[in-house]
This record gives sequence, structure tokens and C-alpha cells, in this order.
Amino acid sequence: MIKKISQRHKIVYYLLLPSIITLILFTLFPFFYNLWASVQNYDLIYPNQKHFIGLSNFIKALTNQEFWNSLKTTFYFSGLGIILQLLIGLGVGLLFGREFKGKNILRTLLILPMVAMPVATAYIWRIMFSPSLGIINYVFQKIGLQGSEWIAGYNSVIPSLVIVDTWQWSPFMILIISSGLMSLPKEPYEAAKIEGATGFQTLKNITLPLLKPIISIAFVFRLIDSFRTFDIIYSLTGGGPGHASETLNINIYLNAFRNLDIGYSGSLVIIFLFLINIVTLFVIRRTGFEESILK
Amino acid sequence: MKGAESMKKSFLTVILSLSFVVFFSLSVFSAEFPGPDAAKIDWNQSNGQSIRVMACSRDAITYLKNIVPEFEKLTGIKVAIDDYPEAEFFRKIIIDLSSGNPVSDVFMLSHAYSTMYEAGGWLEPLEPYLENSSLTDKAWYDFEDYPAGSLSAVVINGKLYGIPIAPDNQIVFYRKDLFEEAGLLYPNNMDELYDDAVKLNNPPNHAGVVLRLARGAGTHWPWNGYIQNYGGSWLNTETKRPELDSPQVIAGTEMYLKLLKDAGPAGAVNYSWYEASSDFAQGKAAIFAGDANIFMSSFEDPSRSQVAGKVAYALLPPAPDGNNAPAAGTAWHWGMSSVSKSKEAGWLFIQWATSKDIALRLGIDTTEIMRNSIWQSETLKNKYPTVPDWIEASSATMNQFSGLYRFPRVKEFGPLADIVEALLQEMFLGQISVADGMAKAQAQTLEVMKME
Repeated sequence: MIKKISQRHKIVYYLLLPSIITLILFTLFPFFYNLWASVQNYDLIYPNQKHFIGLSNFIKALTNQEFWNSLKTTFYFSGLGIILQLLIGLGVGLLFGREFKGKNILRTLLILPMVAMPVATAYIWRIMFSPSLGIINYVFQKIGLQGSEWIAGYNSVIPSLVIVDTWQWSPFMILIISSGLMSLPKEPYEAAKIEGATGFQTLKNITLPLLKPIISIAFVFRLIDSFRTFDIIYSLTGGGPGHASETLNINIYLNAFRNLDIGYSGSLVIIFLFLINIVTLFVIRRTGFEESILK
Repeated sequence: MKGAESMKKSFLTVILSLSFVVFFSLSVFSAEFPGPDAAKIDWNQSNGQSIRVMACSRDAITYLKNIVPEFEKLTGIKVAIDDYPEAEFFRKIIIDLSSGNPVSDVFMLSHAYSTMYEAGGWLEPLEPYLENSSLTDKAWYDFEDYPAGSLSAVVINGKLYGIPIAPDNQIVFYRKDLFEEAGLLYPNNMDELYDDAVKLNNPPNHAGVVLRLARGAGTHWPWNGYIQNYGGSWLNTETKRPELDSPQVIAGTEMYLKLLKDAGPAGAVNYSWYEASSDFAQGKAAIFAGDANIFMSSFEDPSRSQVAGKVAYALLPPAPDGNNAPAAGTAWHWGMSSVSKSKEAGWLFIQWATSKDIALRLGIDTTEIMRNSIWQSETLKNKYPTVPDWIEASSATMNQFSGLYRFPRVKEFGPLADIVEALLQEMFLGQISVADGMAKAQAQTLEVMKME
């Protein structure tokens, strides 16, 4: 009897092996390698000078103006983007909570921006944004509006990137929020109807509180994703003009692959990871995500 | 009856066009230079080996990929060529080489990075292969045919590390029809170039001038031609100390940005070579004031260009007090990994791919030309009879100026280029003045190079 169980256990372990190996190879190893690299003077320009330097890379990051600027840019880009996407997601998501003709087709169409190849779409946006050849300014001029410099302007570059990000990721918010709506219990709404609540009251006192955990999931997912945004920004501006669209993720890339400073960019990655964790934790705590979902 | 006649006619057309095809292909491939068979070496000595080649995508590589079966047949060596767009290529090759056990035996070597790869010990010196008479038929190969300047980036501490394959020669493209209409002649100096560009600037029809300004798109390269034209130098050629805040560099930079500010297209700040050359090919610019000479083939191709036949080619005019060394004559090379297990096979491939016969075929098809003999070849002149000024300007950059070309050939090149490109954009958008911007570039460059 005892033998049987332990043999069974063995099989369980074997069955777990593939996922454990995958985890070690693709998650744990790169993480610890990166951790190791972040405390080394590991610079491909000086390949023979690799040695342990403690926390120097981290100190260099925290005393570097470029780092703080890129952090500011990251928060600006993500903050503006997520607020917009949340508003659009909520508005359109609520619309999708009702039944109407062609809803399913429309929902399928909504997914398109998300599944399109980011680099390809980025290049199309790049052409559309072009002040001289682009269609956006052309249409603006036709209807008598002053065009913008879009991604060519120092102050307009981040809002322009947010437009692309919002175009691509609002559908994600819409889908999550509308499916959340479908899963809500019917009873509170019936009670509200009997009590004679107005539509706005129902929204404010029933729908939104009930949706809060759903919204916070969408928010957290989007936040992490938005912090890591790379393809759109890199293809559209490469971090420019100047450093105006150099988010932390772009900064890390440039340090690693243009400046070839693996150690320093490794330390930036650790800081980035730490930051995402803190912000995510904060959001989860504040929105009551934990109590309502995890319990 | 009518049917039979028309059939006869179409038969005649087929025969005629066939004979034309045969005639032209013969004239194109007519052996102006003896092919590999004429070389007095045993091409079969590495039969059965295989080599991996990593390359940066461009026309020359596309052409070589198509004809590499000829080499495989000749030598029995299997060749796998992987090519990637420029940015990806640079990332992949550095990771491959620095791994210590690279998969690439032969790879493309940018003039900008040769010093860095050499410092890493990743490059195999090629002179021993060139001098080995069982591996190279020197008389047939004629290595002296390469302009001395084209080797300046790959001769490091007296050792040869690369064989030139594709050029990057900076020339000016301009619309002769627009110049004529405005009653203008090609400018004699940079100030006149500026005046002409402003006069020809006619938005929204066309801009006066286009140039690169995007970050991470090699903008440093045409810019370096400008500062050099004004007598400046990115780094001091002797001491390698940056000289970005020198009056000459500031003057060159000011001209570069002034041209774009006063006569450039809207959104110039995001112009890479792609936007600049597309605009020019679409007739949206009067002057493409300094970029790679190989754009000629697309500008003269009516299926890709609206300005075919209307383009003239010239050198960047000299700056008022400059040293008249305007053009950026640089090159891509073939390099070999120092730890490759198939070095002889790799060398045979390099020798074959850069030999005169192949270089001529590749050159007339792609306009990627390095050897002097190809620039002077009759076959080339016959293939491009309408653009003698292009041949003249391109070969002049290669011969006259490439030896004077000052490029920061240091291992820190990548970060240095980014410093300049980011600041060029900030100066262009008025975030910082040119003098302050170049002072900042100087300080940042000193920091990267760990200098005081």
C-alpha cells in the first residue's frame, strides 16, 4: 500500500518536471543571471574588465538624471494612457452590457488592434503621423483645423504615443469590463428597480462597486503592460525627439544594446521590477482587489 | 490567313525579344574580368565543409544570396547566409561574437565597430590568408585595386581585419529641373547651398532639402560629413579626445540644422534615410543634401521614383573655411571570427565574393561598388549611361576623400552616436542652443570615454 503511493508520487514529480524545467530555464535562470550581472562591471565595450562592483550600478542609476527623466516619462505615458483607456473601456463596456444588433461582430472587430502586429501598426501610425505626408494632418487641414507635429514635437510626442496605445489597448478594457458586467448578479438590479432608482444611481451605487474588482484586475494588467511598452515607442520614435519619449524600458534597451552596458542595464531591470511590484501592490491594496477576489 | 500572319508576327516578336535578352545578358555578364576559374588555386581544398555567414540586409547581400550556389558548386563548401535589418544585425552579431563561441564564421563588419570587435579579440587577421599562395591567387585577386581609404577602418595596429564589400559614400542628390527653373547653378560652397535650399523650399509641393535627423537611424553619419567639411572632427584623430565643442564642429552642426529648420520638411526630426529618400523619390524635395550614393538606383528607377532622369549627383560643396574633405567615404567589410573552425573555407568565400568578376556583376546590379577597377569599368558605364555625374561623385568620395575621413573608430562608438543623435534633435527643436548642445555632447562623450 505504502509502496503504491510513493510510486504514484514519483509519477507526479515526473509529470511536473517539464514545467519546472521551463520555469528554471526561462524565468529563474535569467532572473538570477540578471541579478548577478547587475552587481558586475559587465560592459561589452570592455569585455576583459568584468568584475564585482557591489551596488555601484544602482548608485549610478539613482544619481543619473537620465534615469529620473525616463522614470517621469514612463509615469506620464502610462498614467495618461491608462486613465484614457479606463474611461473608454468603462463607457463602451457599459454599452456592451446591453443587448443590441451586431454586438458579436462588433466585439470581434474590437479585438483586431490587439492582435495586429505592434511593429507593423507602429509603422503605419508613423506614416499617418507624418506632418507632411500623413493622413491625420491632411484631414485636419481639410476640416480647417491646425495640424500638430505629433511624434515630431517635443511636447506632443507622449500624447501621440498614448493615442496609439489607447487605440491598441482600449479594447482590452472594454472586453474585460463588458464580460465583468455579464457576470454580475441580477438581484440588486431588480431591487433597485423596485425601489425606483434612476439609471445614474444604479450605475453609481450598484454597477461600479460590483465592478470594482474587475476594473482593478484590468487596471493592474494594463499597468504592468503599459510600463513595459516597448514596440510602439521604439518603432515610432526610438526614444526621441531628444529623450522626450525615452521611457524606462527604452532606456534599459538603449543601455543594454546600444551602450552595451549589460551590468548597468541589469541594475535598471531590477529597479524596474521592484517599481512595478510596489505600484501593483499599492493598486491592489487600494482597490480592495485582494479582499474581493483572493478571499 | 490573318491569323497565320499575326502568328508569324508574334513569333518574330518572341525571337526578337529573346535575342535581345540573350544579347543584353551577354553584354552584362561579358567577362571584363576573368572569373574564379582563372584563379590559380584549388577551389576544392575545403570540399565538404560548411560555413555560416551573418550579414546586414542590403542589396549586395540579396544579390550574393542568389548567386552563392555558384560558389557551393565551385568549392563544395556549404554556405548559409543569414541577414537581418541593420539594428537587429548589430545586436545579434555582438551577442554572437561576445559569447566566445560564435555560430558565425564570416560576418559583415561595419567600419564603425571594427575597433571594438578587434579589442574584444573577435577578429581574425586576414593578411596570412591573403599572402598564402595556396589559398589566394594574388595576381588574379588584385587586392591593390581597393582604394586605400576603404581599408582605413579595418587596418588596426598594422593588421588587416576586413575586406571591403559595400560602400557608404556620402554624395548630394539634387533636382536639375528645379535648379534650372529657378535659374540656379549647383552651389560653390555651403552658404550658397543654404541659399539655394531656402529659395527652392516650396511647401507643400516640395521641401528645399531633406536629411536624416531621426534618433537611432544613423543620423551621425551624414552629420559627420558636415562637421568634417567644416574642418571639424568628432574625435581627435591622434589622441582620440572628443572635439565636439570646437568652432568647426559647431559651424558644421549649425549648417546641418539650419538647412533643415529653414528649408526642411515638416516633421524633419523623425526623418531616417527611409523618409528622406522616399520624399526625394516622390518629388517632395529639391535637394537630398548628403546621403549614401547607392540611392541612385532607386531614384533612377521609374517604377519606384517620380524623379527618374531629373536627378543630378554631386559632392557636398566645400565649407567657407573648411578643409574641403566633405564626403564620408566608409565601407562595410567581410570579417572572420577568430575562433571559427572553418577559416580556410571562410576565406575562400570572402575571396570569391569580393573577386573582380563577382564584384562587377554585383556592382552593376546593385550599384554597391568598392573596387577602383569597377568604377572605371566600361560595363558599368554602359549600364548607367545617363548618370556619369553619379559615377564621378561616388568614385571621387571613395578615392579623394576616404583617406581624410575622420570617424570615431573607438570601441565606445555606439553610445557616442546616440549622444550626438539625441542632442541633434534637441538642438533642432530649440530645447538647447547649438553651442550649449555641443558642449553637452562633449561632456557626455568625455564621460563615456572615461576621460577628464
